[in-house]
Amino acid sequence: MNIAFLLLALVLLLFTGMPIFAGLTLFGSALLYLTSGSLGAISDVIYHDLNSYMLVAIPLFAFMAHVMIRGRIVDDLYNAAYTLTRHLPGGLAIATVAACTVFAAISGSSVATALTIGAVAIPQMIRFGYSPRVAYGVVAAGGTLGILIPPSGPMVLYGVITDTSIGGLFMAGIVPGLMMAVIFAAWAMLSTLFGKGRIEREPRATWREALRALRKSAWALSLPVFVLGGMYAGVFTATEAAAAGSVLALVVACLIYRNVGLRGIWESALDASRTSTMLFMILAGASVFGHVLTKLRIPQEIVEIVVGAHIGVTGFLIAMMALIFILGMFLESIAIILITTPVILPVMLHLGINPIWYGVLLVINLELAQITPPVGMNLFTIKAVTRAPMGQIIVGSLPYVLLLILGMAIVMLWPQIALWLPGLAMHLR
Amino acid sequence: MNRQTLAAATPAAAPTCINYLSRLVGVLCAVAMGLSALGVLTALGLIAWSVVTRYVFGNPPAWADDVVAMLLVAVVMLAAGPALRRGEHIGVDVLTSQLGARGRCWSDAWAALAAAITGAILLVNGWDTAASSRMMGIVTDGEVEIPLFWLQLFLPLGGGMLILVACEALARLATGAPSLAVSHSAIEEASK
Repeated sequence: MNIAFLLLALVLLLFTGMPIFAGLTLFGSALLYLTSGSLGAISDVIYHDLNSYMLVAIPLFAFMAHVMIRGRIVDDLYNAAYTLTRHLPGGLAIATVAACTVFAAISGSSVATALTIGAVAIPQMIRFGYSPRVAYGVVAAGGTLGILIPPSGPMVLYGVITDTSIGGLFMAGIVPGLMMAVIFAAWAMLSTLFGKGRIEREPRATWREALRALRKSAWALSLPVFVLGGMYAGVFTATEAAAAGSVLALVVACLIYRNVGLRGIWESALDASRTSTMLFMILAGASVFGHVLTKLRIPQEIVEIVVGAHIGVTGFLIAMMALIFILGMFLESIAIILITTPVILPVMLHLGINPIWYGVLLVINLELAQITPPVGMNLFTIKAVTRAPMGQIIVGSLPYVLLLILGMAIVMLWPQIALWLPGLAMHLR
Repeated sequence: MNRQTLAAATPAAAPTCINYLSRLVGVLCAVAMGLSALGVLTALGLIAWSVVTRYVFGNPPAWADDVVAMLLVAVVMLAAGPALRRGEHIGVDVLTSQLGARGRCWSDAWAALAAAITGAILLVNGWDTAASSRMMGIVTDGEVEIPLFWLQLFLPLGGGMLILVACEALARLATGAPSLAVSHSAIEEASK
């Protein structure tokens, strides 16, 4: 059976507007019925894919993020970042990227990062004379760091599907994530220096001001240190780290900031349940789709095609990244992971590609998907926050699309950027 | 990409029978959603307790991890229907969003039908799987040995909820009643 035809048919079915989970389940079930005459025990396949201790990390990280968002810690975080960078050209834009970087390490979600930071940063940047386009672009791009800098929901999913260490993936995302943050900040600084318009710069903060700002944001900064530090020190597994982070988030939001009560906790649990259900239902559909692909020996067929084409590791990676980039323009990130990964996993293993390295490349590509039209979740987020014309938001984000492609190329050329830290700390090479 | 909405093309007052159906589905969804959220909090409590007992008492409960994994199936299946009702399942609406009111109505009906068929697959196939597990006396792996069919029954339950919600949406579309599905975007979710 022709894999290209199957994938095309699936994408066309999804374009009819049905929920992705339904499209995957129906397509997989129909294929299964046509090829074997019955559906077999597909619900058993779904049950076993969902019955996973590691996946529980996703609702718990979502709960942690919802509690912290309700705790309104972001104001202190943004103030601290601005206090430290306000004397630099493009200081406010750099502060926005910095705040996105730290918030990414709390939320694990691109949309939550763009929304939370955007609501604070965009009005400020425009007030200080930044062009709206620049402000939209910085927040849209900074928000994408949410899924690259750990904790990251897509990384947990990818780790479970490929049986790769989630701790290793998280660690592998740190250096590329910080690298992207530095690239974004450098671009923001350069575009401010050489761009049109005059942006006022404030004097450098005194040590006292800086310390005061850092002290106020200490709780927000402590959360990623606690979660990631606990994982890498071997104190927690990824799921336990999510639970421990949630407990700390509750302590910070309920007892220190006093912005969250019992109602807030309950609403956060409802939100976490909804967010993860939306994701896990796609996983359920993808498990049916993956099951039928395996039965039809499609992955083996692809291995044979790739091996026969003699394109090598680099050629394969470039082809995959191009395909995912195109899919990312139309499909949601989770669906891309769940549709493509089971199909190409055997090829990756056959070619000896490190799954952690590929996971980081995949996530950078999914960051691109957040800011490439017509379907870019962060573009929609900025639109919702600002009600600005979509064209202006897209134009503002375009330089960052190119910067993300550059970042992806750097990690592809120098895998050690992703693999050095996990290799050092966890001996995962 | 927006979440699914099942808005009617020409909203009109809902007939009484639709209102009864909506009330029933609304109550069931509220209960299911509450249980799902409770599942998340229980999972959090169990894992936190497991970590504390490991480091404080040196004796973590071996069953906690198994129970937490089992809870996830329940959390997802209980919330699947309510999420559909709130228009929270992601779909690709690049093309359908360009349609006019009548076209949107048909595409919404198509989306609801797809969700209903998926629910029916989960209901029938899940029920058969649970029945055969029960007949063979299969129990769960790991530290907690309970009959597997009890857990597998969450799949037909989730399927049943999907069918109910999809039927309500189709009935509303057919009668031109205003949709109850709220177009909650990820953005609005995160901003709460």
